[in-house]
Amino acid sequence: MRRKTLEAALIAGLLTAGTAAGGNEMASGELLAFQCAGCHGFNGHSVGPATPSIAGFSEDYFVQAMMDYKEGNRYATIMDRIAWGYSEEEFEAMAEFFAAQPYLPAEQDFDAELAEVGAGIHDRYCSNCHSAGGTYPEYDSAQLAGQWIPYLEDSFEDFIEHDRPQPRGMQRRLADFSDTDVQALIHYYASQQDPAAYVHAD
Amino acid sequence: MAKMNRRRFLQMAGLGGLAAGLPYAATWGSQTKARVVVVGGGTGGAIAARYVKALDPSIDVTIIEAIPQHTTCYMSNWVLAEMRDLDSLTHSYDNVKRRGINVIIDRAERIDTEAQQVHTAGGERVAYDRLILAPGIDFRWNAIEGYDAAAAEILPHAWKAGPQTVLLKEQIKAMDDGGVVAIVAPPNPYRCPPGPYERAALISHYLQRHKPKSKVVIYDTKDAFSKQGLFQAGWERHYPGMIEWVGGFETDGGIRRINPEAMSMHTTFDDFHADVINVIPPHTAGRVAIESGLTDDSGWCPVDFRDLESTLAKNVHIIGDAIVSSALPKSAYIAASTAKVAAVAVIDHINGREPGKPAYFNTCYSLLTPEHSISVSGVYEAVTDADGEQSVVGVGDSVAISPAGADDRFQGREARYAASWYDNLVDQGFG
Repeated sequence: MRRKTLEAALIAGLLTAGTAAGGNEMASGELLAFQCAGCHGFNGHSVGPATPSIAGFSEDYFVQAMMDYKEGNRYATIMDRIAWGYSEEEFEAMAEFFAAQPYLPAEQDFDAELAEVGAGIHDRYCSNCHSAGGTYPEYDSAQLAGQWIPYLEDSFEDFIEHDRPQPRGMQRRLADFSDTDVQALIHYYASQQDPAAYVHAD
Repeated sequence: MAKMNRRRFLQMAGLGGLAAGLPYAATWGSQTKARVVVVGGGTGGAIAARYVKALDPSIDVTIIEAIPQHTTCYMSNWVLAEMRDLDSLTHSYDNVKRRGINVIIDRAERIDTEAQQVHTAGGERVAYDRLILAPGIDFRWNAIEGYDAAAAEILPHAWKAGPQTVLLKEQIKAMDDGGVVAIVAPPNPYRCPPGPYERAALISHYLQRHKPKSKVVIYDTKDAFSKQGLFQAGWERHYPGMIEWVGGFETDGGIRRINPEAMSMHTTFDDFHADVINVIPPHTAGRVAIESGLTDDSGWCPVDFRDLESTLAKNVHIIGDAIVSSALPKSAYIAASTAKVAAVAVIDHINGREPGKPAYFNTCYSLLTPEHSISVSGVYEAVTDADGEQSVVGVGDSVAISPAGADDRFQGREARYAASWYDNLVDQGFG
């Protein structure tokens, strides 16, 4: 229900500003961003468990992620091919749209006991960079909290397999984690389902 | 530089928005709301309606659709493989109505593009300021001699999902082990280019488990098909010897005549038999487009690709499968993509603005097995050629298929992405 009340207000406000941009060199960021919705959900709120929500990403991270795909720095099945079709300027315009959308955590089942263990691991090892329990859209990382469990599992796999750019410290840390540690983190992130806990980046 | 300009513009637009950006009804200050009518409540129509309403809630948006619930044709091959039932592909208009969109369940028979009215089978006249036409496809009955609407009740096309899907599934289920399922694949252009070949794979997935001595034979009119190399490698890997593709070059252009009673198919030179025959006949744009004079000699709807307005009638925008053959494939994703381009253009026109540049994008998954998928995707842009003709082209190298020989991790992810693609694609219109 919350989704439905938000959408009209936000999308309408943005569009009036956006489509008037005219100029025939580039489609508006809004229309470019709308095209992502078939896989990443209306306004970037994914209801499909294998694809991430991209609403509320910081502009910096969105552009970085897309450029990593475009330049082949990140494991991909399809996002690399898609990224070949856009310029950095177009990514920036899409980033602006998605950054303005509220982030809505996925409503999903999780293991509460595992999540509690995961909270401890997160606080100790991850929270320096992934602040506020992983709910904050960092300049160099998306929100971890509130993503779908299957998507988080794929992401951890990619980081552990070194298929995704990451700081050296994170790489070392992940190598030390057991499978249970990783599952605990995933369930911790999945457990954070209160939309009010998520703030916008400035 | 572009970014700075754009940001500055957005700030200005934000301030100026009070004057320039107000919704139509408020600007015009009368009780008359702009009326946008969407004919066809499939994926494209439902999504177009939602975006128009979300972008400008002051607009009166109405969908006219003949069937009270929408069953998506995409993913209906999953039903043949017993991965999903038809109910899971069937979506009501409850959420659509909840968003303030009017839904009229009635068949749009004809659009009077002069009077700007839609005539329905129920005798209604529905007036519009802008029309978004999402009529989908219809079939050229008897283009294959002997295959008409009555024959389709015996030899299903299953290319519009619903009872036809169930009929095909039941026939395959009733077939003896060692039987042959024939798929008669259509000429270009048609809805869902990789669909017949995914269907061959997913029928084989069923047969392998229940009737392993059976075969699937595809009789094609074409000499080549979408994702061909990936499909053929996948068939060989997962269903060795089970699927045979007979290209149009082998039969002088495929099946010309069908005899439903004899369960026989005839080319110029040869006669073939099968135990189940799935005939996907040649397509046209949905009938209402033809009845309304919105199609050209090809049977499809010509448009200006800058805003998808019909080149044959003012204030009518065409979306989805019915659009004239172009670089855009007739996929569910392109139905959604064109829906958004049309929605934004309609809002711009209603508010007296020149539409900006459109943005087209496609993603389409095909399953080889429930755990293995391949995909095609592409970014497209509208271009004007030397004669001033509008068309679309792929951007750079972006129109591309999955790599050959991808491993299980890769194809497994694509299979899970396919399911999420479905969830999100449908949610945009019906969620």
